[in-house]
Amino acid sequence: MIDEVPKQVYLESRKRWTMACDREGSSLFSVALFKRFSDHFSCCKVFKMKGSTLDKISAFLGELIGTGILVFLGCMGCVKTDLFPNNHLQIVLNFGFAVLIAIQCFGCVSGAHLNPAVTVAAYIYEMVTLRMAFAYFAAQMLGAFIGYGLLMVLLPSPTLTVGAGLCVTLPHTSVTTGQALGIEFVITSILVIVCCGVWDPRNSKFHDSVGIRFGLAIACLACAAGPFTGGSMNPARSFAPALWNKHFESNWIYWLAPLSSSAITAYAYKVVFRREVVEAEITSNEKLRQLEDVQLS
Amino acid sequence: MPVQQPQSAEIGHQMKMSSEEPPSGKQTCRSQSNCWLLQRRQLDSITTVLAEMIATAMLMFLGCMGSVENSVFTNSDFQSALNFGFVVLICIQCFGCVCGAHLNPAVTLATYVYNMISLPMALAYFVAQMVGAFIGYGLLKAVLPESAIYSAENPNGVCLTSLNSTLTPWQGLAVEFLITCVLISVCCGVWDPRNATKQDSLPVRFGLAIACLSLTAGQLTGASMNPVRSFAPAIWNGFWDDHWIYWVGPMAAALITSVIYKHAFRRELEESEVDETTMSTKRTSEAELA
Repeated sequence: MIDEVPKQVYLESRKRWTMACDREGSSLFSVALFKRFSDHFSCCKVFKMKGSTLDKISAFLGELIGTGILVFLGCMGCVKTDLFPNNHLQIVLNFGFAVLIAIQCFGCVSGAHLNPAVTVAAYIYEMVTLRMAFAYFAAQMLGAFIGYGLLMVLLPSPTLTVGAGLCVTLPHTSVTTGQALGIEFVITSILVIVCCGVWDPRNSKFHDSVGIRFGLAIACLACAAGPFTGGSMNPARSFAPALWNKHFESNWIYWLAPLSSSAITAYAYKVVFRREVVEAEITSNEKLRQLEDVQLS
Repeated sequence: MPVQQPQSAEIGHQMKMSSEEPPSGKQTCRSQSNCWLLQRRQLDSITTVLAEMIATAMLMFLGCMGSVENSVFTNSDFQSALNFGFVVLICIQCFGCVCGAHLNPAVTLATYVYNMISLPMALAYFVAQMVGAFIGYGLLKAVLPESAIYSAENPNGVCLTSLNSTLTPWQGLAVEFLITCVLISVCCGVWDPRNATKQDSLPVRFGLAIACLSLTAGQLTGASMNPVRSFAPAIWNGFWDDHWIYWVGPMAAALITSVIYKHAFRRELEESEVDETTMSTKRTSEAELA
């Protein structure tokens, strides 16, 4: 394989791959892979366009199925009746692990946002275009709808009619509207800071265990805020059960707080905390790679 | 006597700021740290301290929110301990690359002993942690109903660390001292030059370590390990019984453990180990090419 490619072209594509890694964060693999692939076929415009379109379609599908997985597994784990006993810790850990599964499956395909709030943060962080952001949003809403619909088909009806409906998020009766709004705002803010930490260029080499970190982070946030507001942090995740069960009271809280919190926090992180990897560091890496290249060939 | 809430905090992760210049030029980690140190700016120092403050506030806010327990909101020691571990995971993931996410004056003291930060910066971290914890707990009181802050299980306020009634103050001191020794040992292990390239799952490791320490000592002393984490609820609720334990235990443990680790266990990378690291990278490259 190496012998078939001119050395100059190979080294240049390798360099671009490195730059792609530094720039793209959680979309690391798909972008890097695509760039590398397109370098070899740069003369074929038709194929390049087709590849790009396929890439976007697969990202959309990944996001749709990922959100479906989240809602299906997450809400299934919320079942709590006399026949199926459950407790708060079990529910939140289940949700965390559902996120882990979704990220492990589609993290390298679409970034596995699973959440319109995360997509807003990604847009502000300049990781997705506006059109792609809207596509992600549509995929998430549709995925959540399908995921919950699948539950309604597969689970026995007594499990679905508990309270306002299985997995419908509502503020606790002793929590005021303002407090619920505040809680959702703050925990979504923290979730977005986790995302920005992952996307930070200085962390571009540390994506191995992102799924685990995210899953446990979600488990913590849900554990802390679950009793008070359901710990939603996610408009799509709250909208699907509400739509299927026709219970929309207080649903506006789960739109306003996460989305506004996401926009504010992502912008603040971008301005205050984000740092590009320093030039000397890149130079050191580049030098090390070149040494290796020379020795290998 | 109220049921003890297992609460805890702490961590630290920061690349070594070495001024030594490796002769071979292959020592990527050290030269990276060196460049980073040389190019650090005033603004970076400010954002570092600001990040530490926000991280500590997050610790208090989420950790204590997950400890709420009354007739309406059920809870368990296991759930609270696990929650605290996961909170630490979040804080390290958010700000580990910005400020090292110490969250704890004991960890900051250990980093100072380990020559990873200067004295002025250590003091700035301490102030940031105090302010952050104060804000975090204040935010919690603002957004939660009164019945969640004060209840039959927590008459003096949620998340307040206090001794189990069966322990004497000196036993409590010993417990806090020993679990903080373990925590600082974890930190020193992370900072050891031989682990410089193994940072990826650091948040997970720290989070689970804290969860373990919280589970073991939570019912005895609240498993604070962190003076700031105990100070914030105490000052907001005006409850100071045995509070000195949570300052003397952790700080003494941090000082003693970091000195011992530094002189007894820490090793610089030897020449052969450098080659091994490079070989490992080369093998990865070969796999990449295949």
